[in-house]
Amino acid sequence: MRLDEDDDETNSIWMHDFRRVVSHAKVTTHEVTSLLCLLSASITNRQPLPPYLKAPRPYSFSKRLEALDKDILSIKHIAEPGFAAFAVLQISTRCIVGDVERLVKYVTLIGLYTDSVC
Amino acid sequence: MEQLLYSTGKTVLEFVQFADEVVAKGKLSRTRLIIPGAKRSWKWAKTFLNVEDNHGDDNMGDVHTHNNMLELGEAYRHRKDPEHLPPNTWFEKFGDKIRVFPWFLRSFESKYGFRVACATMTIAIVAFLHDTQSFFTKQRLVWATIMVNMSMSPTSGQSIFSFVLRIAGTTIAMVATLLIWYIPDQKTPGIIVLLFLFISAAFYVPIRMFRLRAIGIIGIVTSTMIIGYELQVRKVGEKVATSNGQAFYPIYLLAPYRLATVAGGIAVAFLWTFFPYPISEHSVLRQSLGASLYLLANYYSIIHETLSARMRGDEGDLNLKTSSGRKLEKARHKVFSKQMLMLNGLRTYSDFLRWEVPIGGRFPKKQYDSIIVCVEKYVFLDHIRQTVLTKSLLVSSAISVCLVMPLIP
Repeated sequence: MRLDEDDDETNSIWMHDFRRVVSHAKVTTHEVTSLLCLLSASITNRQPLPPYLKAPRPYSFSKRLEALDKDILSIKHIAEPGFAAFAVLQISTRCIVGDVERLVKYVTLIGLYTDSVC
Repeated sequence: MEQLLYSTGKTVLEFVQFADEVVAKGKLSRTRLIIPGAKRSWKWAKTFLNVEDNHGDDNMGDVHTHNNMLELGEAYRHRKDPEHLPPNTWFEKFGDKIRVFPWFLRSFESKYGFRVACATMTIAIVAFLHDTQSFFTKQRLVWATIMVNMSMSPTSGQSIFSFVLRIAGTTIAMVATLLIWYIPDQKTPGIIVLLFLFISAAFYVPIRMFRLRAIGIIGIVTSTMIIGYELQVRKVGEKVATSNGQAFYPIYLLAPYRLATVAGGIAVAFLWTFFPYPISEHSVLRQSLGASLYLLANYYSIIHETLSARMRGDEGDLNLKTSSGRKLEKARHKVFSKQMLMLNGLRTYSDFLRWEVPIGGRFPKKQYDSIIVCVEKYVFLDHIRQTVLTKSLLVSSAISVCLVMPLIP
């Protein structure tokens, strides 16, 4: 069985709202890419990271959702299939951002530090 | 979860259908040689030719990671030379061809080759000088020469590891040959049977303990050579055997002599691993890590583009080869498999670090290991995101959540 966007379950209002937010949200950013490239270059060439480097902030996904509908994250929607999708997205995005922060930290720990990171 | 199961099931079904098709064609009913198809051969030929002229390669990533040639994509392969513009006139083009030679000599591989040549010549010089020539032949120093270039490897930790293995292998072989020789009371048939048993048993090591394979192979080769020589002398007589300048030794002397030449060869190799400057695992690990982070950036941006394309709805038909979605998918798989290879290499190097002689401050192994773990987790997370978002935009499952849960810091 394949559940797709056209399925009946996705026709609820909740789903509609949710999809709208997801399609407008920039779930990923180019910042992460450039930061990773910088880390790579600095490790390869043993050069310190550039100063005033900022780790990307986690995208405030839930705030956007709540702006649309206050109850959108209430527990009564937990049976919605999209709810799990949202959870995975939110958690994994948070994890990735956390990992990038940690990467920067470790890279600075092995000596490629600058005065101010993050 | 349905989505994941669905795609797994679909792939398996395709595979089964393919297998059925092959059976139906009758290809499996007779034994035949499998020859790669024309398309595959053409691809191989193309990559073979490509490798020869990509002299702009800066060897990132493919720094001897177990012979896995990794190409890190356009940005790394065709890196523009900041000191030279692309050639325009024929004279400039000709000059560019000349520049290939210094590039070749400057490469890491040639430097290492020069080092091995120096190490080999350190022993081989004995054979080329008039005064010591007969000594070289008499004492079988040629085995030490062979040992030098067989046991050297580019990074020092790996070298020390292989030195230990080779000395251990020779010691085991020495003990074993003495046992094989004296247990059957020096009778030829008994010796041959025991040697056969020993060799069969010794093959257990290269087959089951692949990391320690050098012990097994060296043990087999050395014991066969020692016993073979002794049996040969017994057959042809001492006079013929010594006619080439090699002195005859009885087995209780020959076996320790063999160990001594191996140890001598390895000592020289050891010296030349460290002498001008050691190529440590540290720098190789660092460079591979840099390359791996670059790949990670690559992977991330591919996923980013896939997601945006999916949300804009301009991925096109995935069954068409030219659609952007298909191209992205191909690129994604390529980078993903490269990253997996890279991570494997990283872990191997991290393991070899233990064998390195620590000189100076300690290596921040813990930090490096944490970076490697971070990269692994990252790839995994990106993979999940991609699966959740691209395959079916809004369907996911508690399973994915469970997968992610343990990773939360």
